[in-house]
Amino acid sequence: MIPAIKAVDLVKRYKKANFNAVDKINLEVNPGEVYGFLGPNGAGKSTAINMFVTSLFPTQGNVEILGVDTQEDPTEIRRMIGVVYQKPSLDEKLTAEENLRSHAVLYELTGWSPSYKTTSTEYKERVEKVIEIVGLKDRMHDVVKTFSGGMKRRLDIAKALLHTPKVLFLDEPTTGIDPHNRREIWGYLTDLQKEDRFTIFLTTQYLEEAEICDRISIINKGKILVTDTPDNLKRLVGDELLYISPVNGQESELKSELESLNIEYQTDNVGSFVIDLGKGKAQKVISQIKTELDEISIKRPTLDDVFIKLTGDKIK
Amino acid sequence: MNIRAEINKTLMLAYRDVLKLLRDRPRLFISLVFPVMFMVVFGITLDSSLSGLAGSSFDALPNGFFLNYVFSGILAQSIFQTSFAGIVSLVSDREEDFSMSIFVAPISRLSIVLGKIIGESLVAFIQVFGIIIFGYILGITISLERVFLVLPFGILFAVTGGCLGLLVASRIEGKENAQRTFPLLILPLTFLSGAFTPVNDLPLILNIIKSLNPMYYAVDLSRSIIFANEAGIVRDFTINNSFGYNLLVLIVLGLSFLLIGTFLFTRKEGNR
Repeated sequence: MIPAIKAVDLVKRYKKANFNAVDKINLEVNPGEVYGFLGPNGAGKSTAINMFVTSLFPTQGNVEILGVDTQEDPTEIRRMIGVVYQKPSLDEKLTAEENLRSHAVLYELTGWSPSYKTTSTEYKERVEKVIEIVGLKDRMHDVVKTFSGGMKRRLDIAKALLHTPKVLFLDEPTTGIDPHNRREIWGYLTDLQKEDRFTIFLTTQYLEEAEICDRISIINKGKILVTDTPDNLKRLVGDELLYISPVNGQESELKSELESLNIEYQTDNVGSFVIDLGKGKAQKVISQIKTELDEISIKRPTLDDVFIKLTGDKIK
Repeated sequence: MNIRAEINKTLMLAYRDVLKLLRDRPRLFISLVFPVMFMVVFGITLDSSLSGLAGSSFDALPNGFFLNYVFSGILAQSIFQTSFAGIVSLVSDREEDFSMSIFVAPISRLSIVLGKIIGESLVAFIQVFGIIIFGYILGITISLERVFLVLPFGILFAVTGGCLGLLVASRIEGKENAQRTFPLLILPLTFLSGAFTPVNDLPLILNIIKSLNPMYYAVDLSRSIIFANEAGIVRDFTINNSFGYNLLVLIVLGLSFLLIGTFLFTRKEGNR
């Protein structure tokens, strides 16, 4: 099977820089996979993505997209990929459809035409489909300037999907987008992805965004620290923890109850009882406890914890 | 490479530039402010302060001469500059609007350059029609026929300006640098073009720069058409080189900028 993206010993050092923005990255992304780079600002995520999408040449090493080397035949790669940048790549003075039409001409879905009416049927069908998916059909002939941030982002994604790319690259696609819009955008994308089985490669600083990936590489200072599924990565830092506190004055009752149930526990600095759930379920522990409880919470390890463990630093 | 598809893409890029201008009223307005201001500042003030100097050679110039003089210069200068500025913006385009996607789209780099040059040339022509109208409002006394005779050569001015822009764009890194460098280049080019003030007798160094300045030949070409029927002092004052010489130099300079610029620009792509 030809990997969707393959990078071998990839290095980028910008002119006049004294460090490598990307420092010997190796990776293989399978076709149909959702793969993410998670890391802080300046980790080298955008530099890497720019090399994948042929807008930057590597200083060393090489990248292949679906078996084609980025430096040997960039045009062939450009036909097969879609790119969504951090900032919407749209002409604000043009309508949504005019932006899509410009894009369609570049990808040879239709010839150049000054009016929507005279475009190809193939193009019209495709535009109606993608613009419907992102929920902008009724705004199709409106000028982009009048759109909200979330709408622009949706249009930008529709544009990147217009030519049915085999690999979709998203560089921090939902930075500055509110959580509601972010969920919606990922809704469209994952629905479409299930249908068309294209590969998604994304970079993000948001842990929750990284969780939708099949696999994640945590990246810092140009290097990949670790690559695995979100669940496996979280297991690196331990199991789920159950926090319980009894109502006032019942501490000793809870203590003896837990001891008689043979449940191991620790107390934290605010007096909560912390139980390591291991592979077990919180429900099972709580159902056994008779002492009246004031507070119950479960702390799941997050990718942030993984990042802190790997780098000794928070993501942001 | 599918030639027909590439032509479609080039046309689309050019059309997009024109559409963006037509949808941007403030930009349309501002693009006229400077040329009109220069016509007023240089044309009208030179007329009122110099022509009346009794005993000087200016005395022999007809009334309203400087307005015609500045207009004939600005005609060429503004076409050249608009197209030059448009191509220099290729550098910042990488970080802006739809242009960002153009660089990762399956389109040859030559088509990007050509589309941009054609688009910016069209933009320059739209602006020039505004300048012509304002010229007549301010009171130029050049026949419309002469003005229209210059316009076909405007294509050459636009293409040469665009090609020089390409050469510059291929040497500049980043948006801020482009914005900083632009006035440093365009101001000397403009003031040594003879568009506003005569550059007939210059000190050696300025004279060398002038001789390499394509805008100077564009301005002189424009005047060699507009003032072709004049004689005596007006002719001496306005036309430096023959029409054919200006044309030849512009073509040679334009072609060399295009070749070197395209080569450097496509080579720079990716090697940042």
